[in-house]
Amino acid sequence: MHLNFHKKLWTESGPMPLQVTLELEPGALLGIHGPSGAGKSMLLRCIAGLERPDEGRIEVDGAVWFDSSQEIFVPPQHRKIGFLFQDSPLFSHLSVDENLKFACSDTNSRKGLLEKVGLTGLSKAYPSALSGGQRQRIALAQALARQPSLLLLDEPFSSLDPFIRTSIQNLIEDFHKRCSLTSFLVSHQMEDLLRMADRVVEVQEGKIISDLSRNQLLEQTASKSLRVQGEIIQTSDLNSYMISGNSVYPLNGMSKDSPTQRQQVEMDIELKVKEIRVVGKKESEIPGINGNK
Amino acid sequence: MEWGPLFLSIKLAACTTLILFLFCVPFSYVLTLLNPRLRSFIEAGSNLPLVLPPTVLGFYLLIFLSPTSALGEFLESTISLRLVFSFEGLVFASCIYSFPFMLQPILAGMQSLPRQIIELSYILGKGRFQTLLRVIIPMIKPHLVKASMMTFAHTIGEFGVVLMVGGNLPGVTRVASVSIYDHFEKMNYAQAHYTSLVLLVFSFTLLWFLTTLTASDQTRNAPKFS
Repeated sequence: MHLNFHKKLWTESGPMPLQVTLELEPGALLGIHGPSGAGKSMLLRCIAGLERPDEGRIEVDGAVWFDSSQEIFVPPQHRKIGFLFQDSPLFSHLSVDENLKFACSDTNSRKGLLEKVGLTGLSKAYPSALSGGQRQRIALAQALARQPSLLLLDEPFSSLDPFIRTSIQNLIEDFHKRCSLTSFLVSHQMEDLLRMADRVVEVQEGKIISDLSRNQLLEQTASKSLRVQGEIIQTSDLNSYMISGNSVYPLNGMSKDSPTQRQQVEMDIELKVKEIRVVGKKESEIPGINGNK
Repeated sequence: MEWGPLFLSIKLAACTTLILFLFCVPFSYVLTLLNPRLRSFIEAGSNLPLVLPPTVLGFYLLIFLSPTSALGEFLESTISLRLVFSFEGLVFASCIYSFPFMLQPILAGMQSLPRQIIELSYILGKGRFQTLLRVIIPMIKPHLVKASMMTFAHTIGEFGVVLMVGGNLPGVTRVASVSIYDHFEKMNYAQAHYTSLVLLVFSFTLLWFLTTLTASDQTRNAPKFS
């Protein structure tokens, strides 16, 4: 997938150019992070065809959806995309099953999707009778019903409580892995992106200011400075550790002048979280804990 | 009791409502797709009948449709249609006069729909026409009913435009409002009373129904605290 486009946006502080240049491998999940008004949602809207870029080119799976030089603009109804909006709009005059039928006429596929999102019993219900989490699940099933080649997720978790948020994230991850669906996820929450995205771009004032893989980002963000009081010990293999109460912190970057013998010290250390293991309870019993995350 | 003018009024209102409904639904949709500046210009023009005295509108329509005008001459020579002092002319004039009564509620209904609902329909593979038929029209049904009832009621009560464009030809253009005026002029007060009373009861019933419909719609959409 190749994106290279430009669009002038009008903000409260005046015009702001949105400049996007991105290459994305098929099946990848790209996270888009940035402050409000940075142009994240507009980026998705341009990909979906809901907005027309001023110039540039959008190419997905070899198909050109937009090319200003050749005056190509494929309207959204002819782009095979799934779009999950923040407020999960559903057609209020249609039942859950009819909402899915709007996107997919095959009865078995619809049944399968309802099963996957765990809402089989609600096929006759109307959107007004659904909770926020149920609406978001139906909206996800609807977005996937057309078997899209691209899934665009625009802050889909922002209005959900933490438990429902995690269950929707699990569902999306599950679909993403199973269908190898190229996806874009816009979120304010870096935790969501660190959990789900393979790669995260940071957008500020319409420009992509960083483009990092998940691991690079974990290195950067999953750290915390704290002041610790305790003892430093050095083992026979010359590794140093800080012992503070019941905690043992392996120390890197000790200088020659640092105390290396057992003695009480107080120092600032930076913790880098590489892996969190939950002990004392089966992982499968804990909501939101899934696989090696 | 003279029933002919009453039936003619109902026939005129039904024709006007049907024509305006079929025209205003797609017209409103097109308006919502236009840029706001052009839309407000067209809306202002469409709302002119709300503020113009009916006699002004009737006067210009009479000139515009008369057999000596370019349009009148063209219609008469090509399809032998004369719009002044004819029922067809009355329908045409009523459509102009009642246009904003149909347009405004439909437009308000369409503008009240969240933009994401329309966009969702596009994303799910439906074009503009399909979106209009399968999403917009079903979702603004209460507005469509209100628009039709207001247009119908307003056309029934028309007087100035109808008199100027149609005159007072019994069985052709003599609608209920013109008939009341005619009876009043001839001091036939009993007949004027009967027709007026029927119009009064009819209009009140229609408005009552409309108010009930609006109230039930508001109740349905109100937040529930339970």
